[in-house]
This record gives sequence, C-alpha cells and structure tokens, in this order.
Amino acid sequence: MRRRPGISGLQRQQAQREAFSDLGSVAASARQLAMEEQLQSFQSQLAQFALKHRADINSQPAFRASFHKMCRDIGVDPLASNKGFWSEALGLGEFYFDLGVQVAEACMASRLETGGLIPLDVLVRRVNKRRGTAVSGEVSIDDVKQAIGSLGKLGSTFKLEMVSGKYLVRSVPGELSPDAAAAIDVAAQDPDGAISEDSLAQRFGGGVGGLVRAREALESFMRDGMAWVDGQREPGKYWYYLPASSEKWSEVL
Amino acid sequence: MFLYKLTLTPSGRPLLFPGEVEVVLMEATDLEFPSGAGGDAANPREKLTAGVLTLTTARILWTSTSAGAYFVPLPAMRHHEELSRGMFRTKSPRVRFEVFVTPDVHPAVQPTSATGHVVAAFRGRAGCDPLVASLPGILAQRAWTRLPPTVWLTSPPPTSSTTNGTNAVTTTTNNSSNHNSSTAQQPQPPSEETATFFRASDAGVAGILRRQERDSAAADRDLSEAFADLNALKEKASAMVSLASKLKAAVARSEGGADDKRATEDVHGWLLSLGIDSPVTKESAGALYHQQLSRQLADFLLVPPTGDKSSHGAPLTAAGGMLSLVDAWCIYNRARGTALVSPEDVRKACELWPKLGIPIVLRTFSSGSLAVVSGDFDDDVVDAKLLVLMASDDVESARSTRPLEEAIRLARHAGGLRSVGVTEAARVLGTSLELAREHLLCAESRGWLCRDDGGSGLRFSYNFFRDL
Amino acid sequence: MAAFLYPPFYAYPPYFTLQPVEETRAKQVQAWKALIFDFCVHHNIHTVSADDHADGTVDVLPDPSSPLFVNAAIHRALKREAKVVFLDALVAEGHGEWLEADKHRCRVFFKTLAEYVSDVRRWVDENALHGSVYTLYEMAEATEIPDEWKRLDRDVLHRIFVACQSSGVSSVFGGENGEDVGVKFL
Repeated sequence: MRRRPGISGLQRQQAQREAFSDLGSVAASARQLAMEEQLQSFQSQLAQFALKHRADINSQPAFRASFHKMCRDIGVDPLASNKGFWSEALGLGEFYFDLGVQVAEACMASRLETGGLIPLDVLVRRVNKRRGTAVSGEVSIDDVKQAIGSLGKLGSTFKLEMVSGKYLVRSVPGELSPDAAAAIDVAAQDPDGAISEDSLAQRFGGGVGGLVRAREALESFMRDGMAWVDGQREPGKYWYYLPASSEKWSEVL
Repeated sequence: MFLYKLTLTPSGRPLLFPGEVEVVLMEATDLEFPSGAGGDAANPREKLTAGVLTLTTARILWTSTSAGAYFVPLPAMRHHEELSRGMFRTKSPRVRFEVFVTPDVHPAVQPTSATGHVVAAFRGRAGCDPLVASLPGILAQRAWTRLPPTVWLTSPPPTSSTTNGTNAVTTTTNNSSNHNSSTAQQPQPPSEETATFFRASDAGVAGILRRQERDSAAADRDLSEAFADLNALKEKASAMVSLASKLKAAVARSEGGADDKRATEDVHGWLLSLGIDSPVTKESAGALYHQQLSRQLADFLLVPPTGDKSSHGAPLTAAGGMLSLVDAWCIYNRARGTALVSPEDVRKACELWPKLGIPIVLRTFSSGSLAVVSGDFDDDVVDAKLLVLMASDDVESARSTRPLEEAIRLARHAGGLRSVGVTEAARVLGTSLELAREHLLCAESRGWLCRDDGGSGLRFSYNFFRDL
Repeated sequence: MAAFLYPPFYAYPPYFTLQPVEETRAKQVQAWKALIFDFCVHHNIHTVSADDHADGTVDVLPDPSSPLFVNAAIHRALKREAKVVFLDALVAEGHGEWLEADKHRCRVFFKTLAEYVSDVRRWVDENALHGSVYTLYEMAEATEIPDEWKRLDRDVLHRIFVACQSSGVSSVFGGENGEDVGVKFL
C-alpha cells in the first residue's frame, strides 16, 4: 500500500462515511484513503483467518472445496494472482500453481499415448504418483479441477470436457464433435475401452450412412493420436482402443 | 563478517517471520568472506559452499545440508554490486554485499560506521540475475518495517558475554514505538553489542502453524469452527468486493487524465489483491505488479542465463522464437521455484508487452491456443522450411533458412507427393509437436500445403493445386 | 535369476499391432525397443529372431515360459512386420545388427560396438597386454579377461574383435576348418 500524507481523524471519518455512500462526490484522495483503510482491515481479518485455518485449507480437501465455493459465491478468484491477499495469506499459490505445472507436465508426458485426451480420474492418479509422498500429500479430484480451470486462462488448450457423465481432460487444442463423443461413450461400455467400426456404426443407425460416420469418427481419432488399433481381437477387423474411454490403462498410458 | 544462525523448522525449512515472504531462491550458491574468515562466529571459515541463497522481504537466508543455516537482515544492507567477471569467463557470477556491522562483526540493523563484506558466488543455472533483478525493489519496499516490532531483538551474540535480559526488555518497548518511522531508530542498549536474532516466541507462532498442519492432516478434525470463521470472512469479503466494484466502475468512467494514471494503477492493484478481474484496457496498463511481471517475464524469455556453459541461450530463442503459453508459464514457474505466478498473471503480463514496447507478441492460433512469439519471428521462414521438407527428406537441408521463392521452386520441382507428418515437422522446425501442428495448419490455410488422408495420421504435402 | 519384470504396456493389446499413425507408432517403437533390450540383457540373449515360425511358435528362446513377443495371457503376439520395425530401431541405435540382408535374425549388443572397442582398447592399455595372443577358447578360462566379456555369446565376442580390427586395436585370425578363432592385441 502506498503511504498517504497524514490526515486528521475527523477528515478520515468523514471520508469513510462518504466512501460508502456516494463515491462519485468524494475527492479522490479521501476516497483512496478510505479504501486503503478498509483493505487493511480486511487483510488483518484474513490474516487472522489464515493463522487459524491455513493448515486446514492445505490439508483438508473438503474445507478447501468449501473455501472455493465461497469465493465463487462472492465473485472473487483466489487464484487470479499470487499477489492477491488470498494467495499471500493462505499460501494458495504454492499449492495450486505447483499443481498446475504438475498437471501440465503429466498431460505432456502422456501425449503420445493419449493424443491429449485423458479421463480426469486417470490424470489425478498420475499426478498423485508424481507427487510421491510430499508433505502436502495427495490431491483430490476437486483440486485438479481447480488447477485445470486456472490453466484454462493460458488459452483454450486446457479444458474439462464431459462425456456421458464422466470428466475428460483435454490438453491439446480442439473440440469433441458429437460423433466423437458418441464413440467415446460406446467404447466406454467395453471393459477395455475399445470399439469396432461396426459397433459404432450401429450407434449411428447402421447401414452405409452409419458406417461412413463411424469410419470418419474413428479416423479422426486416429489422426489426433487418440486411438490405438488392435488387429488381433477379431480376425479380419480392426478394433480401436480409446484411452479416453477407460480407466483400466492408467498404468500404461 | 559473521552471520546470524537461521532457525529451521523440524523439516529443515527456514523459519520465516510472520509476514515474511520468500522472493527468490538461488541454488548452488557459495558464500565467500573476503576478510579471510566469517560465517559462524563459533567456527569461522573462509567460505561456505553449496547452499541455497534465498531472498525474502526481510532477509537474505543461506541454507545448506552440511554447513549450517544463516541469515543477514536486509536493513543491514549498505550496498551491493555485481563483480565483473574478469579475464576468465569460467568464473561464476559474484555479488558482493557491503553490510553495516557491529563491533563484533555481526550485521547491524541500523547504520554504523563499520562495514563488513560477504560475497555470494552463484554456480546455478540462472547465475546471479534473478537476485540482482529483485534485490533493489525489495530493498526499496522496506517490508521489514511492517513486521511485528519484536522481530529484531537485541541480545548479545552467542560468543560474547554481556548483560542480556534487561537489554531485551528496554529495546522491545523502544522498538515498538519506532517501528513505523522510515529510518530504523533502534537505540543501542547500554552495552555495546547490537546483535539480533529471532525471538523464541515468534518462532513459536510459526512452529504452531506447522504443528497445526500436521495435526490437521491427522484424522477426524472438527472443522465446525473453521466453517464458522469462513462464514464470517465471507461477510467481510463480500462488503469489500462490492466496494471495490463501485471503485472499478468509477475508475472506468473517469479514465484518461494523467493524474488519474496513478489512481488507476492503485485501483487495479486493489482489485488484484481482492481477486476481482480488472482487464487491461486501451487506456490503462493495469496494476503495477503486472507491469513489473511483464518486464521480468520478458527478461526471462529473452536473456540467456549467465554462468551456464551448457545453456542453449534464452528460453524463447532456444525454442526457435515461439513457445506455447502453457510451456512458457511452466518453465517460468519452474525457474522461479517459489512465489509462483498464476496463469492469469502471466497472461496479463504478456498482454502488456505491446504497451511496454517489448518485442514479444502473444499470438492466438485459429485453434484457440496461445503462444509467445519473439518479434522477429517470420512465418515465411517456417513455410520455407516446410516446403523444402516436402521436396526431400533431408532434414539438415530443410533446417537451413532460405528465401520462400527458392523453397517453393524446390517443392514444385520435386514433383513427388512426399507427405510430411507432425513429428518430422517438429524435428525440422525445432519446436514442440503442438506448435509444429499449428505451423502445418497455418501453412495449409495460407495455401502452401494440402492434407494427405492416408490413414496414418495428420500429414501434409505440397499443394500442387495452387499452381494450376 | 530373478523373474523378468514386464513393463505395463505389455498388457495393452494394441501394442501388439503395428500402429499406422506416425506419432503413436513412435511411442510404440520406443517402448518395444527398450523392452527387447532389457529382456536380452536380463536373459543374456544375443540373437533375436524376427520370423514367425512354421510350427506356429513365434519365439525361439531358451525359456519358453518367459516369452518376448507373445503375451499368452491376453492372446496377443507380434507379427514379423512389427518385429522388424522394432529391431530396426535397435540397429539404428547401434545396439543391434541383422545377420542377413533380408532380416531374419538380429544380433543384440548390450553396448554399442564403439563402446566395446573402446573398452577393449582401455583394457589392453591398462594391463599392458600389447602383443598378447588368445584364442576365444583360452579367453573363456583366462582370469585377466573381464567377466563381462566371458558372459557374451562367442559369436558376439568374435564380432567385437572384428570391429576392434577395423580400429587397429586387435587382429583376428583363424576360425576356418574347425580351428578356433585367435585374437592378437596390438
């Protein structure tokens, strides 16, 4: 905070009253002084809160989630800046931005296997593996979601997508077309997360039309590196394994 | 010059004062004592090696696994200078600190007539730049004057033997009345010594915090009080938000005058502190913090790290002039190590570059992904490389820069339908797979390349159709 | 000897089909190349066959219960085309050599030939063995010969010394008509 030259007690009270009533008619310097004093008072209260509960925020995922909900309710983003009061008092930056870097790195590490589309659960598992047994311990799904929301500010590359009630994390630019989402859904019924052209064609109504749509959808996945082929599951036919459709392969991918 | 012992937490981390913030962390740093011996008064040495030097808002800390942990209070700092490297470029960058000292050669927190020296030798990747860049600002802020007054407590150093208890009491009261003045007017105790170290009960507060964290992690913690406190906080925070929003609106209406510039900066700073969005507009440059970050980030991206023989140069240059914003954010935070910056901070910092005349641009691709691009980046150069790659699989040849017309001729002449995928393009362009893909798509939209649907992934070949 | 620990990808069926997409294949090749190498080092195997065999088996190995290219548990096996691609990658790195131009068997080197040659040169210098002569048979018993070399396949050892010949570290002779191969260290 910048220090202002001294101002008498009476003037200060006056300024404060007016600051709350009609800002437009108050001189700028008085307005600023009032604001700074209010901010300092808020900062103290936050510091008190932090002294008592910083440990809880860092170690209790449920409380952390409530905290974030509170911030959303009042319209602030505690992760907007590490210069924010929230971040400074509660040490959120170290936790979330570090996590953000870990999330980005985990996604990058699995890019060649998954094409950049991975189930959220699998990502959380991979991130926790990377974190090992750090003091801050394991992170929850909510934590990773927060981190991804934060990463989303770096362009439209990172985002959460939902397909049939399950979250997927996308770490490459692009969008899931409705047909692609349908393919992921069908593949998710298979224990290995795999799908054949025929089974997908059925979903699209069968016939030539269905087959063409299925082929296009699967070729699109292949082009994006989001599908692996298996020629030995059924003679004469290819099956397509979609990493986005199954959590079974979190060790592999 | 002798240093004060730094108290560590049970897990070996420095015990910070309440409100003290770590700013810069420099690994692989040695401390050298030009006078011949220094460091621990009980065990003086010529140098302390292989430690981590941390700049905080109140002190310079030095920690190591085997040589102990020490600190120098920033108010004792008289002067610092980067030493010239001399003839032999292999020498690590060094910074010499001149420090006010007490008669027994410990740092003094008010100006004295005697000074001592300590030299920090930076053997890490980043050289001394992060420290040298941050130190002036930290010294100017004088954040230590806002610490609880009892932080600097006078008490005899461990090696000397004088009266202590009473000194502590007198100096405490004196300190508290003076702590807000601009020059630290800490009166000398009756005895000569003016050593300072962190008081045990302050250690207790931070110690309590850490114990709390451990207990919290333990099972079944009753959080009802925490939730009650959270609700109380919510009320106050809500009031702050509405006040700040009114200010934001007032500022938006009145933006323009030169007078208002600082006022606007202030408002943006407050909004930043509260976590309310305050977008950079044509007129304003946003919060001072973002302006500073903008410059720091540009320096990080464009200036090669000193003292690192194996470096390939500055991060942006090493990446061929283009880095995805996500990658830039990741490597910047990894380099900072501590006091990490948020994605929004970095985004805003990037958006300020044109305003600050910095030659880096934030570019949006049609896919929506963002990249930081150096000002002299030339798309034609990229297109030319890709076109040469269409002509032959000679990666080395494709890497060299040549005029676009020549590249077109080569591609056309090659006649074949050589198709190129993302992996190969990335290798030739020296960039990440994601950016290579963006470049291929850009070249496609500019009409040089067309897609090749061979079923073996995303591939492109020279677009002969444009010649028809 | 401890059981060989297969990497996680070995249980993922698509890894047994050669991937058509370039980026995906790159990952597949890298994974298999490493597996082949580690497997050979663990079992001290020096030759790997790329062929699918007439009797239906696809591996010819000392221990059929520890296969390389077949995972019976998931009913998958690599076909020849894939094996050639992966072994080619090993060769490109200097850790393999095809024994035939049409690629049926691949010799696997635990170190590259260049590394072996430099090892030999260093050993000759350190032990002042310039001018000494050994037959490969003698080497198996001589105490001054490093254990690492003794564990190598005879053919591989021969191959290494031939490579050493090109670098002037040794000269190789004999080996015809049932004669043992001799090596003179220069």
